Amino acid sequence: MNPAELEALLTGLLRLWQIEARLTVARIGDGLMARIHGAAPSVTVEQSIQPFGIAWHVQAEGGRRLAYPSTIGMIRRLREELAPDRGTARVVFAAGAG
Amino acid sequence: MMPAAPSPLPLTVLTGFLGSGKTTILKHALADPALAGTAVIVNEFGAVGLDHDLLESAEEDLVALSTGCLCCAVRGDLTRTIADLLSRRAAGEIAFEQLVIETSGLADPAPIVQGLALDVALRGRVQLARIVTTVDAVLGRQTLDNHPEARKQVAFADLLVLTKGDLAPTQTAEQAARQFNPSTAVATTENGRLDPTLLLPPATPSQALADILARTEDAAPDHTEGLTTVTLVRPEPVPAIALTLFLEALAEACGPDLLRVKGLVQIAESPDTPAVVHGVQHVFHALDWLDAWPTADHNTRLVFIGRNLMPGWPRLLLQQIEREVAAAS
Repeated sequence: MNPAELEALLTGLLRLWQIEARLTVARIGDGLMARIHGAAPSVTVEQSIQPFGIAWHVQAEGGRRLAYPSTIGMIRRLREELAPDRGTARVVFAAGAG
Repeated sequence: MMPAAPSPLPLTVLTGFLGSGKTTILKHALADPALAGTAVIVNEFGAVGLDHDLLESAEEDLVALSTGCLCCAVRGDLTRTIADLLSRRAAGEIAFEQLVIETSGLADPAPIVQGLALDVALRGRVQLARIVTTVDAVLGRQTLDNHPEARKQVAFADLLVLTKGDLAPTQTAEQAARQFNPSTAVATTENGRLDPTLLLPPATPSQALADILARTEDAAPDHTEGLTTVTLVRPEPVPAIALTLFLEALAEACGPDLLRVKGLVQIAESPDTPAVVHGVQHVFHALDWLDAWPTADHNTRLVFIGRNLMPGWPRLLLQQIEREVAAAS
């Protein structure tokens, strides 16, 4: 993932959740770091390559920096921080004919 | 050897706002031999206005028509009503080969379709054939401007039926409806009559889906509630696990604002037999595998209808999840 892709991924989430915020993305070593300002709270999102694969870290202003091994985990945490009142859903697959 | 499970019966949902012509269409269609062997489920008997000469027999909750159709009233639970009809069919008490549900004019189709997909009693016994939505040529634009229920009915449609074209040109209503579902097929009625076969499953469902996908392009959000259509087209196959995680991530991010997902996916593990993806909000039908691609286009093509979706965002999300899957394996 490059900085432009991370910015687009996060911009798409902010648009989905109708959050007005500023977004800055920078390379940090081999990884990327994005700051989401102007929302309450400000949030930092980092992506890095770890021995086990891709890792995400999310930290809200004044909160703990927590690690997530998947994009889904990162999205869930961001939503909880930035849009806690928004509805979420878990995919359900209906059974087939067989 | 276990006997083969019977094929699920096709089910069409006929929806549309109050007064948009559903009942008129149904009344004419029920008289047509093409719909013989159809069980129709409506909210109230009165809504159908059945002609006397069509009636063959009537019980408390079931009307048999001389054309071979059945009409059933729903007063309570829709899925229980369908399950009851299926049980009576299995017992040889009644006969039908397909189902049509006429929703009330204010109904949200999502819970109906989800109920059909998830109800244990209906598992493998019925299969959604298509959602048909009526839009009135006279009042369609105003209705869509003023009623979120009508917008949602249109957003879910596989087929839009423009009614009352004998009273007003249909272009304005069609233009208004296409804001909320630009890719759907469109038909018109003539004096309230619709080709009755349009209430039945498409003769070649995979071709019908391919046609819808081929004409879908990204659409700008509408001005009322940000309903957007976003397409994802890509030549590379998608690993099955990445597709599952991608749908999970979409549901997590979009919640109830993701209205529909449909498309054909080239799965890496089985690239010659495309998977049909069909979801209503977060409920997805079991993947249906086609024997072959319906056209020469073997690209994965998915269409998303939802609120505030950014063009290109689903593609980026899928790409990122694929990277995670590749890095972890």
